[in-house]
Amino acid sequence: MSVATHFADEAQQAHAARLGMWVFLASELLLFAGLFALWAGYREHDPAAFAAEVRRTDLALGSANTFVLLTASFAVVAGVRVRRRLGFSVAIGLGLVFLALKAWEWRDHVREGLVPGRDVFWTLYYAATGLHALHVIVGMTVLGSVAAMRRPADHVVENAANYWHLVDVIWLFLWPAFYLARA
Amino acid sequence: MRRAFVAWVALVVLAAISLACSVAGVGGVAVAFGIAAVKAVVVAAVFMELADRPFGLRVVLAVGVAMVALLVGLATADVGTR
Repeated sequence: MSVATHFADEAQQAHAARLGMWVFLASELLLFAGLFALWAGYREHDPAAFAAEVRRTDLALGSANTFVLLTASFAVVAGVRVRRRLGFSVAIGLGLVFLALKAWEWRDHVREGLVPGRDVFWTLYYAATGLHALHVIVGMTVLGSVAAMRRPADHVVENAANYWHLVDVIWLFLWPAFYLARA
Repeated sequence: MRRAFVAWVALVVLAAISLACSVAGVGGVAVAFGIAAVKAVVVAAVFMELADRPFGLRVVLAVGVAMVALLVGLATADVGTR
């Protein structure tokens, strides 16, 4: 990989790229933190009504997606450490499974009249899961691009993988917020 | 890779425990988010290899997490104490 003129050497360039990615990931956390703050505030306001709406989300599909994303993250690790193209391809496939299950859920909810704007809970549900689904699509695109590269630098592969892991971590918190908090 | 595999098994088991608690009505929101936090630490430490990263990178993430805790915590406290 060529070194840009403002870097002394390849190691410094790689360190800057890694640091930049972590700062970006931290800013992504803050993006979702706004939605979690709204969730926590509204739930605190009326816990019983909020739990009643949580009981209407699809626990089976939401939970299946948790296992899908955890496994996709493991595939990404295998991609970084063993076989990049195979690992990343499996993760992209699991990303597609995640999106298909999510679309199935949304379709069922819309048919029941549970649409954005119905009340605070459902607006938040679609905003949070929609924003997350968008991140899954971006993650799949990033993994696909890096898988297609002939010889990507180590830090490029790691940065792509870490973006995917962050998307996984965010889901780990969306899951209890919108599926598990039923009481 | 062995460590990553053990981490994946641990994550699946933790998710199953979290799901079982929710279905059985045990623990409530605190347990669900507590288990999620443990899973997030496992993903960050093992999958993202944060345990082996330079101090500077870990500080970036720690500041991000602290800001999230501050925002969500104070928003909840604000509503809760009205």
